[in-house]
Amino acid sequence: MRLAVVGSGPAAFYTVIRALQKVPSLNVTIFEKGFAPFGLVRTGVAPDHPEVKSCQERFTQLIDDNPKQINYLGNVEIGKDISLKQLSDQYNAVLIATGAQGNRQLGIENNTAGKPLRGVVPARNFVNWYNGVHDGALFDPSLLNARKATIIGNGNVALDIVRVLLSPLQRWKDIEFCDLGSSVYDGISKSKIEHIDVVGRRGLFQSAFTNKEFRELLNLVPMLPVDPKSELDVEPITRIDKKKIKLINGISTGLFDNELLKSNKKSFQFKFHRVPVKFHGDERVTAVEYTYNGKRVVEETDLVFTSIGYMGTSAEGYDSVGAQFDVKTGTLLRNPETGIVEGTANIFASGWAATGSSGAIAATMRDAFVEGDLIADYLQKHNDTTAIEDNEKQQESPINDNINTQDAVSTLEQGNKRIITWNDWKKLDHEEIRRGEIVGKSREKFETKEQALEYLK
Amino acid sequence: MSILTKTGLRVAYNLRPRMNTYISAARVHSNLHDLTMFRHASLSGAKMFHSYSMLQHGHVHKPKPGEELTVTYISPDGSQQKVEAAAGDNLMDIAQANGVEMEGACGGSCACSTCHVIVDPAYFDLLDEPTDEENDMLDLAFGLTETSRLACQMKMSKKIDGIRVALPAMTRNLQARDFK
Ligand SMILES: Cc1cc2nc3c(=O)[nH]c(=O)nc-3n(C[C@H](O)[C@H](O)[C@H](O)COP(=O)(O)OP(=O)(O)OC[C@H]3O[C@@H](n4cnc5c(N)ncnc54)[C@H](O)[C@@H]3O)c2cc1C
Ligand code: FES
Repeated sequence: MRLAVVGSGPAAFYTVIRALQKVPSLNVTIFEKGFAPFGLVRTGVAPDHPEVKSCQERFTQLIDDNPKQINYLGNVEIGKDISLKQLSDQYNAVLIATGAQGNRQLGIENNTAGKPLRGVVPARNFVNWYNGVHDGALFDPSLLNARKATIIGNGNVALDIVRVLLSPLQRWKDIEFCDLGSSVYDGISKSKIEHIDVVGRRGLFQSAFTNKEFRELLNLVPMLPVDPKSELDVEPITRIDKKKIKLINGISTGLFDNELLKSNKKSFQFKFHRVPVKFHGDERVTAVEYTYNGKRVVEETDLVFTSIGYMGTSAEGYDSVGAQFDVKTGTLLRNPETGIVEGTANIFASGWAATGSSGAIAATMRDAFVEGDLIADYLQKHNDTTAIEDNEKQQESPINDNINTQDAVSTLEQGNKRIITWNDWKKLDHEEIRRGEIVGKSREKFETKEQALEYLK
Repeated sequence: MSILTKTGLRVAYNLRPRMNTYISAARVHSNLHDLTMFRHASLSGAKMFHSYSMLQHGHVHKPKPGEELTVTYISPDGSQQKVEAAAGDNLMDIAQANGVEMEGACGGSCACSTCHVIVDPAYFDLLDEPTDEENDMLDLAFGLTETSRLACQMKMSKKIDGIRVALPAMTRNLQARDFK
């Protein structure tokens, strides 16, 4: 029984963990397009949240402990290097765990001339940058010469950005196991940003940030009170909203009061009920125009991050296998009973690729566990018909019984593809940790695929 | 990184003062069904469930002779596992050390909510109050009940000897809405 897995984020790993529990003889091949595994745990989760990343140890151990059964092939993009159709034909089942590879679009005019403005940046580009993903150089750190920034969208990613940009610099030195890159620290320490507006379309209770993130931020960066105060005259019903209102009022009651906070001269402020309609500026953004309480308002800013969501994109090859993809939500549609992607025979999906780009690792894990169970059910059901064929194939290749991987690999080799194997990744991993030790951090990341490949030469 | 360094890292994570962090996000409220599982569980003939061989073992102490405390973990299928534990260890590490299926994705740092458990109401009031951080995290745990807690934030003690906790079932219905 063979399972091909596309992607190596939490969804991939948790699905595999569960499927292996149920089908212990399962052979798994994981394909990852990046040079490093772990998806957004490495490229999304903020560098000051090392504990969130400790799931990486668990994932690492899974492969380390099962080298015969799990084959990891990095720097291989499904849809480009190998087609989805090929996987579907060659493996008993395929799992798509590719996360959300695009951005939700704001869909507003950029400026009067319709030209893209400098200084309007999708949150994803900035998050990638501060997480050391510098492939394609999608964020130019010289933009941090701005005095005031605006984040459109008020989920946890927005609060991450505020924390990264406005926390006292000393904090980066204090956090154990921090993996903020040296070049990134450099960029942040040169930042001139003094204030950030965090803008939401609706009110406090409709904002997507969570209390945990909010509480953390309130302990680090001074918050200017919501203005006018009447915007907070809303009756909280749920326990979560009651706490949210308590936290947001807490600043006036001195609930948050520590030395770090007192020494921090920077600030952020929530702006509610603003629907962005237009960016102003000639070459670089100078202001955002909103509708606010039925009126048009223009608020000045030097830098805008659009943080309205990552979004799944229809990938190369979905059509060839008949996979149904919902363009509106950016997700693959699954049969709720079987977990199979609608329109396909043996393709499954889990995590953000199927649920959309919301939900923390815990939610992704839950989704993945359910999908893992369903894959196991499917494989067990189809076991009888394919077992014989499997046996024959395994005899041909006594060392690595993962024969289908070899098919895939040979396709790649013909194309001169440099596969980053698990062993290669371990080398990169060790080197990152070694470089990190020198500067007192958990790791110093390779910032581009070229750098990583160069090191492996 | 050697296994030792890694273990060291993990221990260090656990020893660090608790940090404020991220969360998951499914808003569910008191679920009576979950509470009834305690009754079912006590009826069902305690089938041991041991399939998590790949799981890392948490860092727990061996109880001194005569000072063994017990914890009972109840799986979503009703099977239960009674294990011995030492005072001071947390209920997530104890679970992992005994092969109970509990993830604990953040290594016990109150940052992931994957160690969410439902405490037998008979023991709930004996527990120390949850911190603000644990409450924030719990708000977002899947299938929250009146007696929900995070296993990694509950330390074993004589006071709660014999405590019974149930692991919530993994289902797929509500979707979170954070990380916009
Ligand atoms: C900025 C940000 C911060 C976050 N912070 C937290 C946090 O602090 N705590 C928390 O619990 N959750 C956090 N989350 C949420 C968490 O990251 C997600 O729940 C989780 O990563 C989703 O997992 P996934 O496996 O579905 O997708 P991903 O993690 O995105 O993994 C997808 C993987 O698939 C690979 N891939 C994509 N296409 C292909 C292809 N064609 N071929 C091969 N490989 C491919 C990608 O390279 C990637 O490695 C955060 C999310 C974001 C965006
Ligand atoms: S293990 Fe992450 S919150 Fe308990």
